[in-house]
Amino acid sequence: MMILLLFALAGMWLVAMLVWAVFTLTSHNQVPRQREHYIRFLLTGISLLALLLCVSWYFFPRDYDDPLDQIFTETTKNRPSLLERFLASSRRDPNQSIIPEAERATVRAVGKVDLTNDEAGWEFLLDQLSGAGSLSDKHIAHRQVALAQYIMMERADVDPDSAWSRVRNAIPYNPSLEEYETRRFLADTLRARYFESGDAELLAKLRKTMEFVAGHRAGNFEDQYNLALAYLLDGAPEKALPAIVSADNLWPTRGSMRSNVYFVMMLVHTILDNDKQALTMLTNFRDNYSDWIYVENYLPDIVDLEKIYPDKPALAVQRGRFHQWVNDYRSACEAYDGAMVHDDLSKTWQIAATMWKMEMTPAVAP
Amino acid sequence: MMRQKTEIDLSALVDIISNVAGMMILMACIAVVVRSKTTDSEAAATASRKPISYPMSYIPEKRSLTLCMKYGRLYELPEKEALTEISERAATGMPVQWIQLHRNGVEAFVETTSTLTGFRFTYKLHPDGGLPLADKGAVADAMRGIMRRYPPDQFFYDIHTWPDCFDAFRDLRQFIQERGGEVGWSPHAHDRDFDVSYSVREYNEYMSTIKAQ
Repeated sequence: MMILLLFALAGMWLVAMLVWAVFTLTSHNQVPRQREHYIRFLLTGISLLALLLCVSWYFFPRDYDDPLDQIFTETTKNRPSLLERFLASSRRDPNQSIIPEAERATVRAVGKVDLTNDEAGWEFLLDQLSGAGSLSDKHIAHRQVALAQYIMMERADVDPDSAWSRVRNAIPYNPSLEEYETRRFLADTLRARYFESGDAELLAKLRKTMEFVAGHRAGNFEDQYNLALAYLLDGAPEKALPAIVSADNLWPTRGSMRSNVYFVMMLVHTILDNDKQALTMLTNFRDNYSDWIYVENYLPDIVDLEKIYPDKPALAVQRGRFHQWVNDYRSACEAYDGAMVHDDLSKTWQIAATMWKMEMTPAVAP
Repeated sequence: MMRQKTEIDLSALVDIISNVAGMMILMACIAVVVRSKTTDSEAAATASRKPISYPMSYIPEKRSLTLCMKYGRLYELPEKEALTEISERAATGMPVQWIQLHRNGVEAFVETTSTLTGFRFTYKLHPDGGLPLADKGAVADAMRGIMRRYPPDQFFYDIHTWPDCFDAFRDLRQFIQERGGEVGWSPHAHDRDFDVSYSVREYNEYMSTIKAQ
């Protein structure tokens, strides 16, 4: 409201200045010297208006109707521009299309959009899928809106405010489920921004949001996995364990993404000093993680966790083992040696590191 | 006796106001400069307390934009249009199983994944669409437009290329790299029923690589 008031005042002032200037300059009674002063006065007014805009941009906060809006805005940008705040002060009509008519026409003119979604398989899908059997049509549709907007926000040039408005105002159905899906979208955005910036405040918000999402009765396997990740990155492995176990139990398919669940669970056990479980999972890692040979994909994650958990040298032993599997013996030895000098390394991991290091020692001729 | 009109000269007042305004503008400019320096130092501080430097769940640092070169033509995939269509139709309250659309010689088929958590995108390129690579000026203009919409500091450009376009790909790669863009190359040797296929948040067991997610 403050912004609107300032705009109104500044606008009225500018109009008054213009009227005055036009009236004065068209009057033939003025001497040229005075005309010059009036022009200077007009320029002064415009300059002050610009100054006013700068000041308001820096010092007047945006008014939020809902804390969720605030979190989202703080997530997607450091500080909304004056224009954005001006537009946000009067909420966008959710029914107003944000897609240029030209693009809509492009999609529709060809006439090949086929939406006769009446196949029996689709009905079966909606009813029978694990973890999704209780979803209503409107709930699924809301998720599709959120997912489409999220992908477009991340992969195309859709601005976050439009995406957020679309998701928040998608379909009125069940308030609880609406909030669940909206926060799910918020969590996706928070996670993406956190991975970009590493901002600890974003991680705290992500953790809080994921606790709501995964704790909701509609929460699914994906939510449990993401909650476990948030806990793990936020230094709470004891809370991450039940979440990742739950994700593992609920996971509906196999495949490489399931491997990530295995990977994260192994790391959680390692950090929690559950040596037996961690070593067992490491032994079976190559059978459960089809992309184990692409160490560049997952080793940096362990390095990051070593920074978050500096008192867990077993992570370095694991990293050494992965290096060893791809025949990078130098890195493996460095990792083992670095872990072995650490006082916190348990006896079990010490023995493992010693044995694995011996595997790399060239045989000495008798 | 006629009343004599008194002339008031406001020029001094105007000068004062002008000078004050000028000083305030100068101060505002200084404040902006100071503010930007503060922001830089804040960013540096944020980076120093950054707990991790690599995305945990394999989200690349840059987003990707997929382009295709086939039949001597350059294609931009209508991913945004398809998702827009899905979003609009789902906004009516009815879930969308799949949509099919055709744009600029690219036939797109987008379907909801079986876990209701993502979408699978499949594209078929047609020889009558896209932009002829022989028209280098038009291609350069198109690429400039694409790089404005998808800035090189935020996106890398993944280009699926077929053998008839390998030569042209080198030129295009050089064009992008000269403007600070990163280019990924996916060579294709044989025609299939579809040309490009990928998924977002699909947990199908037939997905073979993590990066594909």
